[in-house]
Amino acid sequence: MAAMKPEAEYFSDMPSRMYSIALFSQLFTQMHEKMRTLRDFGLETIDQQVTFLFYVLRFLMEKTLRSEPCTIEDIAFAIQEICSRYFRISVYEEAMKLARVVVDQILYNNSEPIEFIPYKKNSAHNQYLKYITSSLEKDETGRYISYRMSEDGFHLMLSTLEMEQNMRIRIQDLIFEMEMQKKNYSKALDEIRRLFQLLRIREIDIQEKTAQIRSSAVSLAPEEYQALYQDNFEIMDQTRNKFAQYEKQVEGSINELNRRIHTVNFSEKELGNLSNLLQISALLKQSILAFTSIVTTLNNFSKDYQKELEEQMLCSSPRMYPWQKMVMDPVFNQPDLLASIDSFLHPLFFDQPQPIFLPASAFDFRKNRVMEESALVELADEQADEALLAALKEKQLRHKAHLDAVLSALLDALDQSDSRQTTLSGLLQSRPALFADLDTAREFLSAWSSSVRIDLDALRQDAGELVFEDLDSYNHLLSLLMFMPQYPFLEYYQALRIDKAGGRTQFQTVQDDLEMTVTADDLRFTLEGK
Amino acid sequence: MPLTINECFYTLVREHEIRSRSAEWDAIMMDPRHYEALEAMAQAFDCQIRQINDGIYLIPNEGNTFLGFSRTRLRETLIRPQATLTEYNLYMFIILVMLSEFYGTEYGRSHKRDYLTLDGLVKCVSAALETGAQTQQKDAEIPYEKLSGLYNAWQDTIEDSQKRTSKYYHFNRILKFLEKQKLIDWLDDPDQRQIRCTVRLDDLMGQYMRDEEHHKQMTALIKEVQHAASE
Repeated sequence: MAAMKPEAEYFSDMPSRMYSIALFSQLFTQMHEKMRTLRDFGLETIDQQVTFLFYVLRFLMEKTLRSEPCTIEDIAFAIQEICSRYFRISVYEEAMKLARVVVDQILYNNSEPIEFIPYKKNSAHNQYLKYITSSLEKDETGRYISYRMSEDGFHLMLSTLEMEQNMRIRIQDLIFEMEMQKKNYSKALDEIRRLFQLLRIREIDIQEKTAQIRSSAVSLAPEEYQALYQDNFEIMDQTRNKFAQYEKQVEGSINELNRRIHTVNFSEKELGNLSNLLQISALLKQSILAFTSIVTTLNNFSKDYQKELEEQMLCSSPRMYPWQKMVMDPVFNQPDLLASIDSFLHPLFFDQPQPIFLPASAFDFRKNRVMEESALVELADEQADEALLAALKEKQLRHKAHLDAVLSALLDALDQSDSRQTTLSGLLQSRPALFADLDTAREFLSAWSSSVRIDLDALRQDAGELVFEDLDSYNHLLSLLMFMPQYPFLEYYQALRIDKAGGRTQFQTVQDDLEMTVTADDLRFTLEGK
Repeated sequence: MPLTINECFYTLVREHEIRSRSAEWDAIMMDPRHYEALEAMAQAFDCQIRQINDGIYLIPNEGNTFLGFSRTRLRETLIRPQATLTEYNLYMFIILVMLSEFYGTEYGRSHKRDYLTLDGLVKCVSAALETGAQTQQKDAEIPYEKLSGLYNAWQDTIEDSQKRTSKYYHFNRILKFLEKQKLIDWLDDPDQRQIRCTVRLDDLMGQYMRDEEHHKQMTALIKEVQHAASE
């Protein structure tokens, strides 16, 4: 027997097999690293672990085919189902954890590209794989991450069914045709469902390739492009025509059954056929739409490819500079570059324009004011208004100070009185100018005469809950509280009682620079002991 | 009524970009003259207009401190007022390492990964600081030893996020800034802290930041710094 030569011809197809080899090899390598973790979840043997992994992949594939969002919670839920139904283990509380291990770490490798390097010195055959991909989606409830199967993932899943894609579509098509001829409609319905699924895979595949083209046309070899374009276009075009014919046939059959539905001998079986046929018809219509969409995508794809190639031909020098060489290496070499690197990153950032000059304010609407006395129109002067406001504020503060002075006098009198009792008339006798003006008198008297008994203890307790703001209006309780620290003797008393002393009293005060005499009910202030 | 070019430009100044399938996009793409008019307007604002994939981007020219950042303003915005130049340099370094993690490869797709975890980035920065320490020239004013010194002084805790001495505080500060600039999505979810690139960053990094003109600018910058160092 002649020795086999190493360069034997049958090895020549190895490069084309490399991709599939890489797909499986890297999946198992990734899984191998997490073997112990998976065992902890109850998946004991490698066989179980691999099978489990493919169950999860199958779920992701389904979600992607249906273009449904797929969050980590969805996956966790599916994992729970898979585990209990097929592996007889319950992971209820840990399902989320397991989902993260499987999706983020094993399948996704934390989004690091998975590398397959078959030869030490020949990088041309290196493969970079990504089984799944994810995107950030937004809806009313907020942001969430949705996972989907990527092109590589689909190839992996398809290769477990051992068939080339184009072949599969043709074969499936054939089976469907056969079942239709046999009038075995329920079988035909299953077949066309499968066919439809294949079409969706094809559509996603082409969409991904198109996205790739947009980023860089060179990354797709011309042969690859030729194959993708021509094979797809041919098969899609042929199949579309064929499907249109099926659609006509099915319509015919439906019509015939519809005509006979009212006749006497319309059997149960025929009724079943009718419903199957109606479903087939619907799927056929959907498929034709899918074909059209694929053909359109292909056309766009071809346009994109040509455009990108043309653009790249125009640039004689390589268009993109590798970031590592262009930026990182110099920075590693000379860290002081960091201080001025902002001028390089400048295009990425936008500052909020500084409020320097606003021409719009020149056209702002301004209030005019009619003067009361002269009826002259003048521009509302905001500065003057502000001065007015300040004056008003000052007046208010003065008013408050007056009121506080009265209270202070009252407390002084109580402090000095042995019986801890005083009357308004008594106060006025010792201090004739008790009230600085009429407003002070009016406000003070109305506030205090409205209270009958002020519980000092309760007031002290409430102090913690009171919020001291710059209050405009006078509050006698608040003022009393403010004075408490200055009059420690108040601590020994439970309450301050206010009642009518009987009789009236008179005092002098000022209003608008005019002296006047005011008469008021006399009040008695008594402190109640504890 | 299609939008006028002035209105489109206002959107650009406000949003810094126009995406396809918008009224603005349609108005601009209706007529090549519209695009030219927009370019002229941008020029008057010391900016450039670039159409990259499905976006039209307004890009402030170097030295445009009206729409872009001046160095002082960037420092004020990015770092704490009392922070040192070392901290500023470290912040810039972290941004570069992050960009490098997403775009530092010639591998076919526009970015090499879909997301980066915060832990991942922290590790990458440590590794990159080491690489720097081994390859740097000796005459640097702020050498890598100083940067790593500061970096390692930041604690690894994540729980006490407000602590100003934690790595989390500083990374969060940088990432929040980048998110505000619409360059990344920063998912600060305790289960999974992820950084994701926006389409805007993909487009700008893919085509603009790595083009020839920009490369020239980088070369000039390197020369300038080397010149300053040798003096």
